[in-house]
Amino acid sequence: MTQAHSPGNVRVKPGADLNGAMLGKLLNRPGTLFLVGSQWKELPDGVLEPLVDGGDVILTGSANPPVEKVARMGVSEACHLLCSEGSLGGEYGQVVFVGIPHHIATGMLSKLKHYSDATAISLDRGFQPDANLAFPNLSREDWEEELGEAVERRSA
Amino acid sequence: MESRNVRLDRLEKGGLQVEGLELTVGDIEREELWDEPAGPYHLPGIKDLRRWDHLLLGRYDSSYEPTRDVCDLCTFGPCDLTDGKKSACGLDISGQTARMNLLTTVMGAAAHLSHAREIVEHVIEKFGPDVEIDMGSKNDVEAPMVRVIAGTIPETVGDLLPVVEYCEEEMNHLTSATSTMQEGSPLEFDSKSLHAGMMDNLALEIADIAQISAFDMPRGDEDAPLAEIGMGTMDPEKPVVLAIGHNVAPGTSIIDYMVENGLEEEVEVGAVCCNAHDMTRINPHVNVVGALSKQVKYIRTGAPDVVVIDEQCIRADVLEECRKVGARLVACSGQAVHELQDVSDRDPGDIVEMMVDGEDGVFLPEIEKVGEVAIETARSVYEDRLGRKAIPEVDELQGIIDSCTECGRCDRACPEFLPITDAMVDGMEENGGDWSGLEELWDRCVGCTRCDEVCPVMDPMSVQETASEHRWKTERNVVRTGRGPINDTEIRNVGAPIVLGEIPGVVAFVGCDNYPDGGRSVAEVIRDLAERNYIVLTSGCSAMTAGDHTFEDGQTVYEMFDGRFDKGCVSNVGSCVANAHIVDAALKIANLFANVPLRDNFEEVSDYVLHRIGAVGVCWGVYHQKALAIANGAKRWGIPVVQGPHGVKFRRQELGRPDLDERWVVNDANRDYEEVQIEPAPEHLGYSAESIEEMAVMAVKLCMRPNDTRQGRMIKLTNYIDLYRKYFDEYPSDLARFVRHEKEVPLTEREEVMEVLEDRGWEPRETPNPTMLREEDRLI
Ligand code: SF4
Ligand code: SF4
Repeated sequence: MTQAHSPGNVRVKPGADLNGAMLGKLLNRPGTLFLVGSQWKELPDGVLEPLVDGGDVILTGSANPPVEKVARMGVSEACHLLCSEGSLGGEYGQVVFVGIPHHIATGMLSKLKHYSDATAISLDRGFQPDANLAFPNLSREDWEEELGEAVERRSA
Repeated sequence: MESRNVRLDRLEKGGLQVEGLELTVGDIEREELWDEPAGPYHLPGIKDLRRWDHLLLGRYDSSYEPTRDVCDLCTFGPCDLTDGKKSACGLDISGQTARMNLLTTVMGAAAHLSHAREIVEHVIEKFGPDVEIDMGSKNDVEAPMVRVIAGTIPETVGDLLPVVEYCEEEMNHLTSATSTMQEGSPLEFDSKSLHAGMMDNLALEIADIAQISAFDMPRGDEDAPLAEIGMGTMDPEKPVVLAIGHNVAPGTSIIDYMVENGLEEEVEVGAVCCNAHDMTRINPHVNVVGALSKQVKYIRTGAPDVVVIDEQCIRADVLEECRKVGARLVACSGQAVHELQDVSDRDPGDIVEMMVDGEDGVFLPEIEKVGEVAIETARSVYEDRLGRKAIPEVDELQGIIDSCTECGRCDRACPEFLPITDAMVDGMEENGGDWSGLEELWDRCVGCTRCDEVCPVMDPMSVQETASEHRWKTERNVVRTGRGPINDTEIRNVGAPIVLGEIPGVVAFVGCDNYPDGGRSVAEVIRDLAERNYIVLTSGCSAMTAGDHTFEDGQTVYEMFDGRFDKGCVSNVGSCVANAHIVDAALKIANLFANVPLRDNFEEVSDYVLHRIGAVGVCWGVYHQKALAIANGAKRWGIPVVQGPHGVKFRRQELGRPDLDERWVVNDANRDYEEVQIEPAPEHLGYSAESIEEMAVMAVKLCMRPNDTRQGRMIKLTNYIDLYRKYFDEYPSDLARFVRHEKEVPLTEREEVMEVLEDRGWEPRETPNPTMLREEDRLI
């Protein structure tokens, strides 16, 4: 099991490791919401658009990528609504975190884990144990490769 | 307030020494002189303000963000709290998370309260209990929180002791509530967190008014002098004394000894953290080395001969760091003793001799001796120290950088996720030896040393420090010294434009420097808001950050903007304990501008603040439990707080639901307390932003209040739209929620915006006289 970036927390059910091939397949599922955050520019060029294609996008923080969004709100607000029945709660089977700064993402993923039924996927380069699926701590090159593979799988 | 008996272990005054003194302090006579009507909440206990808390938390959801799946606080556990499971004691994940938030708040509040007691006792021991509470000629409302909570006007520092005792009693109840098998409801834990926050804020006020009165610190100085800030302000060729911590008492001893012996030119005295603020409030010639992040960085340069620690924000390994460079450590508070030998009974000369002979530290709670011991030790040892340091020499740096194995452990350990490995790789000789990345990291690094702990070959933080040596050696900027209270006279000038919304808001940058991406952007937002006519306040490490950065013309925000409490000004109130003056300013507005009685009148005062005073706290670099305690206090007073992304680790935000109209219904005091719809303002009570841009937009948005006049709302909306467009490059999609009348839309956008609003079925609304209370709950 990959070591958490913030070690020491006793987690009963830590998330599992993700890889590009798996991600490519998962992204084809309907009912996917992408939370795209202020660090989206760290993704390699040309990856974001095909990754989020077909899903709903909420932009958080100051993110302003060239993708169509359904809303802009804080990641705190979005995750609170995702855990609230009658709002976004129950609307999405899968929530994907893209470019959300690691520490706030950790808190939000924990919130989703405890208060929502959606599957949470983190595309962060650092492992997020509270996500159902997250990349293990990857070097930048390996991370870019896995994302590239996910995009390829999607278009295949 | 009832009179209380208080006991002092020791009193020293004018050659008189008394041990075990019992004092009876009270203020019954003064109460008779104070003709303000009293509200129902005299010395409110743990349960007494629940109604207010439930009103607040009925509007703002507690959004829990657990940091652990388990509870392991008792031996039933560890208990698994996932998938809705309860612990062996019956608590679920929400209850446990709320309980941990309370526990964290109690820790922070206890640090401030213990500080308050120590300062009050120190003042009484040194000068006697009759030191007059004196906030200067411009301040008749000397202690707004004491007035609201304790229903009294304190005249002397001795009068503050019973209030300290009240806080201690409440803190005991709050700590008790965190024990296993006590409270079971998340909502009640949250209410208690707010109570703990209120105790914290009250303790801050007590500590600061006691030290201002006793040590002649600035009393609302609207043009407080500038002090030098930066690691380059200290001359390492002289004997150097560095003070670390928060309790100014040992600092006063150092300053007194230095001044009385005419050593200002011979000895360098500097401080990190809040001690630096408070020492410069007494003597602006003391150097502000920097915020908390500079603690280890500065020690490792080898410059300090003596490090004096008191309490709070002291690294646990401070002695180890001092040993690396041969600096002697003087611990002055029982809060942080570090296994050092207690030398209280020895003469200062003997203690100096011990340290010169090689003792690496002493425990010296006899504050009066600290100045002589620290300065004379530094004078005796500094020549031997010259040239010693715990960071690499420049000429050995390339070899160290080249030894990096590129394992990436440092990146993963770094709390700010800084790209240390990339900077090392760029710095390698084979890649051209470009150290600029390491230099840039030094600015953003919070000085935690976690990378040093995991790196198999070097101390990456020290490598950054050597790589940027030329920068910190010349780092020399200015910070305005802490002004203390906001004056009644200033409040009278700006009370109306703030309440009516014509000054767009008061934004207070408070707290620690655990910044996710360095401090420069904080200084930039401060400049931006001041240019937009917000009243900007700073305190603590944030105040130092504001002075650490210069703009195009080489000036810091303290040189660019006046230090008054007025639109377009930037004032530093002072250290952590001076944060009280920020809340106090809001209470004074309620009292002096709107005649809301303060006395025992918590609910009505806070209801006024929440609905009318556009004040927001920003704690971008939140790290310490004290920051949470301060924030929870501010929230209970009705002041929303925006935190940085690390804030989610405190496990709870208080988020509004703008989509639920039923949450935004108030009573309109102008219409027989009939229920009316308001806009979601302020939209959240506690919020964590992911980026500095989001923080700036949220801070401005949270300045809106339902009481804003049309013109005031237009000014606030203009700023909201401007900043939203600047940072997000689009119009705010929620604009319609905040527009009550066509005239509130900025002129330049009116046509366009009104078209959109009318398409969405928008209808105009009246501005109410809003309150969450009933008529019978209010005195006005
Ligand atoms: S010392 Fe600085 S660079 Fe190292 S882990 Fe801490 S913040 Fe990151
Ligand atoms: S931990 Fe040390 S060796 Fe590993 S990448 Fe960081 S600096 Fe290099």
